[in-house]
Amino acid sequence: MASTSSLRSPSTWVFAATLGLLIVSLWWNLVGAPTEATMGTIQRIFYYHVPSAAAAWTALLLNAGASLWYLVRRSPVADALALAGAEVGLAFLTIVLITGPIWARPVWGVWWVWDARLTLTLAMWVMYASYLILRQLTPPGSLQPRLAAALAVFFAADIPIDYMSIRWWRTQHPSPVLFGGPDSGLAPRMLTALLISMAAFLAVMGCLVWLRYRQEMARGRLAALRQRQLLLEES
Amino acid sequence: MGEWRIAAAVCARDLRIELRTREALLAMGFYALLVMVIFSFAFSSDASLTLRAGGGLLWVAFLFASLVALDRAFLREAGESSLVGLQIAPASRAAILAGKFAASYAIILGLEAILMPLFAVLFNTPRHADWGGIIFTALLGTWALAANGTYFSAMCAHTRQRALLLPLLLLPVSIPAILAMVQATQVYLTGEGMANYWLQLLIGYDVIFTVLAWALADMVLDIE
Amino acid sequence: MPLLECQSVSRFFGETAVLRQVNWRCEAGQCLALWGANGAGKSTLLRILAGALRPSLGTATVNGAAVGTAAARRQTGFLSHQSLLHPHLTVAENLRFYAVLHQLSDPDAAVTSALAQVRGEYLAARRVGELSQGMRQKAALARALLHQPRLLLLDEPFASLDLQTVGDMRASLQELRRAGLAILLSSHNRQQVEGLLDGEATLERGRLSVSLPEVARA
Repeated sequence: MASTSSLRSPSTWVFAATLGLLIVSLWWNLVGAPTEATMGTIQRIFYYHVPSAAAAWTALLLNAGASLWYLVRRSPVADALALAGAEVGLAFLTIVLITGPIWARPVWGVWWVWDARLTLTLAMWVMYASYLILRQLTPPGSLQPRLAAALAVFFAADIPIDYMSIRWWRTQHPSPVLFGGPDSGLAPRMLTALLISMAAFLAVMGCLVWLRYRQEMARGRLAALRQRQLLLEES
Repeated sequence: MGEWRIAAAVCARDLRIELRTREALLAMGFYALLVMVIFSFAFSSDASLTLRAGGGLLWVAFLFASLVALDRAFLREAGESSLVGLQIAPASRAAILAGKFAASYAIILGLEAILMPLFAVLFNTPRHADWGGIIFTALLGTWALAANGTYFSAMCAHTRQRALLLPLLLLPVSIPAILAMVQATQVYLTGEGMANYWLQLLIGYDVIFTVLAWALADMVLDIE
Repeated sequence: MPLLECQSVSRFFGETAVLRQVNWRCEAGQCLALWGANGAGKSTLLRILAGALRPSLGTATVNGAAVGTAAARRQTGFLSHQSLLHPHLTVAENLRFYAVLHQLSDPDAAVTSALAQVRGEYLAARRVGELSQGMRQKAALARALLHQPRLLLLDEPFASLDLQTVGDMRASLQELRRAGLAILLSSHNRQQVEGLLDGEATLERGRLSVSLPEVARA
């Protein structure tokens, strides 16, 4: 088992590379990308908003996959990954829900619209917040991972249906047409900035999930050792 | 088959308990009625309101009442009667869950049967409203709420602060079903638009989540 | 082969080790007492053996089947602190429900027979909520015996009972013991279990120490 306290270990390189990527991305987001014609400087939030969403979705997809794996194999690795994915995913969802309205208000004139994407994002935020609350409120042991995994599978089955149904609803009741959406006319340099930012955010997400996963596994090992100790003392 | 007998016994027992107690049923009924009355205060009871938002009004009232019923599903097993009795019986978890679902479904439907005529009177629903369609929607929609609600109620039975957690878990997952219920009811109330897509969505939703709850029943009624 | 076998069973609640490597066994026809101070872990051990709680470590089997499985649960009857009977239903309704849950072929006959075994036929039509402590305990014992288990686990069965009921229950247990059931009961009062025991064990700070079996007094 490689010690992660050494500066030469692989994880340090990965963290350093992620940090580098973030700095490069920062330059591109603020300087490298041209200012958007209609929206102005505020549009640059786009380079944080969209990658946050991508990072959130990836982390939550990990949660869904790991939960399914747990239900099949009961592996503690699966449970730790599921927990890490949910926490990191929720954090990035929070960023999405904060940056979105900040961008929307000056550009569209409204803080919020009930279109498919936003409604779904809000619903997902509540879902995964309640997932974490459930984990908090259930006594640790064999029950907590089982309940959490079952809940995560329910969410995973539900989210595509959510999106479809809200989308259909919106085609029946169209919301006001909002121009200047995220995919309208992306200049090449903007695309570059977006892709770099995407890579940076996914890297950060990966690092966070990795750290949380290792923390959770360590906590499990510590608990097992503690149990052994408790059995040995006080005969 | 043995499993159906178990489900039927659980359902019958739960219904018998609720009918003997009555206080829970009354609480649910008053809750829903109160919601409707408050809505009528907030808006004047002109015909256009019913046409524009009737579906939503009706289902908000039903939702509140449903949450009480679903919480009861496992609150019944508190104190002396406790969940332990169900857990140590060598009976299939899915069968027990099915029985609890059936009881909740029946109770909520019973409540809706009483409240729908009241709604029609209080909010002056149009004469041409398609009540057959509304009832059909209610049958499908209530199934969705009761199926997921019973599953999550079992999940929360292991936790403290169960009553807080149940709506948090149930409502986001139920968004497609609630959307469909409300929209379809709206179509049937006003006669405008097509309800087919919404009904198909409800049926599909019911099938998917009933199967999922059945398959994962063991997770949720297990011992610590 | 012993009917009940407990190997190195440990149970933690958070940081507390309630049971530490408990080893125990019980043969058919034996009645064993479990002593221990309040909070020593008697209820926890009985719950694990009844399949109501998972052991953190170790294994326990009933007739070869791991506790907690359907096979073990079918052979185990459990009298817990709670009666597991709903107060708004009658004793007969409660018992019939459990009989169906156990998938017994003739639930009504099982209910009648179980009530007879505890000398509680008169309780059948009474609502559980109206019963005294002693009557409720008899009804709970009937529930535990419905499916004719081979192993009976009793968590402080005589606590707060009147003398008459204690006498009735002792008589029932004596009959069951002669019929070949294995019985484990936890208690605080030596007098109440006098003459019933084939052996005993004490839980102290989570560890079980088994005493030599006493000579059975008929």
